[in-house]
Amino acid sequence: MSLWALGATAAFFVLLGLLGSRFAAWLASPADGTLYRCVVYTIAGIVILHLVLTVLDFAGVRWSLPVLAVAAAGIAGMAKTLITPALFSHRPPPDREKREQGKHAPGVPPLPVWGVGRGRERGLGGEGPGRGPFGRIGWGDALAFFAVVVFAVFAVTGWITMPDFVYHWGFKGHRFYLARGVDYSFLGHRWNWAIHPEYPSLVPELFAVTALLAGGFDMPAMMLEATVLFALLVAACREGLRQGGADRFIQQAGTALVALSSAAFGIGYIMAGAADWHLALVFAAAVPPLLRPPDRTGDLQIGVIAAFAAASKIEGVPLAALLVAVQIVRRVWAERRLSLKPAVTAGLLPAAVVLAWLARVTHHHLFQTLESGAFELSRAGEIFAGVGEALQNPAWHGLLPVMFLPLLLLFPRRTRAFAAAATLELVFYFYVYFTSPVGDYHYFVLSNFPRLGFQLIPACIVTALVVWGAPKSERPAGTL
Amino acid sequence: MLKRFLLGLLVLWSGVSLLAEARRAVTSWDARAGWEAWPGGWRLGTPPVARLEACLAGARRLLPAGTAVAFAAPGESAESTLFQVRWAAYLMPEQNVFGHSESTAAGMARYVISWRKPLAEPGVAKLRPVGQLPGCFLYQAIRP
Repeated sequence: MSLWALGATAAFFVLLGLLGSRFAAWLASPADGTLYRCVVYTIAGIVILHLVLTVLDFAGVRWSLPVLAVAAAGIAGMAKTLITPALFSHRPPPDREKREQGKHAPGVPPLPVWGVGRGRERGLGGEGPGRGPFGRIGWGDALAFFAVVVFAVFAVTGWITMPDFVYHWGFKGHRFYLARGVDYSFLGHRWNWAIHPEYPSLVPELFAVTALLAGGFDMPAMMLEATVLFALLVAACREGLRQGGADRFIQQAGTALVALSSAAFGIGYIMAGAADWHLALVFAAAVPPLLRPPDRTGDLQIGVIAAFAAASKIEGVPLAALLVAVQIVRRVWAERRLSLKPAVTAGLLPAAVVLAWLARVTHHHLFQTLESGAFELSRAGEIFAGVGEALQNPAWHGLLPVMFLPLLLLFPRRTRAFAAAATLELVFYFYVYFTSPVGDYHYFVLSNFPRLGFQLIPACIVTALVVWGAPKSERPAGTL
Repeated sequence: MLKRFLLGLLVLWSGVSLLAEARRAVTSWDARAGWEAWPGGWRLGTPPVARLEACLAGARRLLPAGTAVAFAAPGESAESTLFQVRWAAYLMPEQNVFGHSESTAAGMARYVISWRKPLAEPGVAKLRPVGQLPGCFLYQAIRP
């Protein structure tokens, strides 16, 4: 285990956060606390990195640290000088206009880095001036920290490395590192069907760039990535509870519940190095903008989060479409008119990610027959037997049925947007079970259902607690 | 009050779950020297992976980067072999590793690694033994 490589992983994510923070003026809502800003800036940094790597691949430029550094500096500079005044105005959306009047000069980003100190809203669960950048640290935060540390210790040993890291995610990351790019000539070999050559490439790209920074492909450093994503997931959940107006006890208990249960599952189901952390983070990060009344910042936050989903996993592509669609419908519903701007703001980044992925996968003929098949209702018995068995998976300790909570969360108005996206994603999972021609459907369901549940459960816990635990008087205006 | 109590119980349950999983992980980690699972249950740091690593370390020294290498596991089921091939590919990222019985790669292999047992099939006539590595056998394809 190399301490240098572990440090490189940590530094990598800090750099990604700093890169994303260059877009702070458009990415952070006044309601967002420091933790959520860390989350959304890091996700934005990752999406920017993915797009840069994609452009380099298209241009035939091999990945290297100097090239990436120049690209990052160029993007940060462009964000400040050229792109931002041209594409966006700093005029806040109507619902925030009065609050923001007189606070900042137009066009001047009020948050140069990380966003500490910008417009925190009082009354939303306790983060405020004089309480430190992360608000008041409580017992739930301490338990969450403990859970993340316990997971990290096991992760870096390699003992809880997910088999899929060996079979394809980590393997592809190592190949991309050696090739200094997404190695399409390698992925295109027909005998590579087992490594899912058509999958979006962000996860192995992150491994490859971490290896570039560390100077070699170091397994513990790759495992530390899962820990960083876990920490971001917990941060996003804590923020969802705070923005949802949950009282302090429920915020602390909810944060601890998410962290402890995720760590237990992550260790018991050996999840270090899995790509499912990405989608769990997507769902959790989408909660705050979907709980708030829709606004322009929310459009961009959803756009960035959706782009991250689409770049991460193949089921992230429909999830991205669902998140964007839900946000657009909310905007249309709230404003009673169809406007192109929110659609572009929310949809541009995910569209860029998906179109580039589709173009490359189609060009290299990477799609496989496993992806397509007729809908066969006759599989229902096998599939639901598999689901029934998976729900008793010991690593979940009885919590897996929580993944079906979105069906109930459709009823309260304030969680309906999140629940709609989550429910439709659940429907997509089942659609895949009914259409993928894999043969043994019972085994197929058993082999991935607990993981798919993990993508949903942390965010489901948060939204359920928001409904269950927030006193009506503290709920933001425009919600139930 | 009831809500808080129930939520507190859930947190407690999750905490106990984490400790139970951590304890189970520590126990299995301590016993990893005797971890002889089937290839689908292999983990990093276990004896089967260490044996495969020892075999492939020898092969890596002999084979240039980018070499097409077929991996065979005589006597093993197709499912076991599939997982072993994936591990071999992970441990030899610089070479292009695929299954010896992979129909889409027929005739592409420059070298064949046979895990644990020497190859004894009709096709072995087209292979030249290069040598025995720790726990495996290396062959070179004879090109016409």
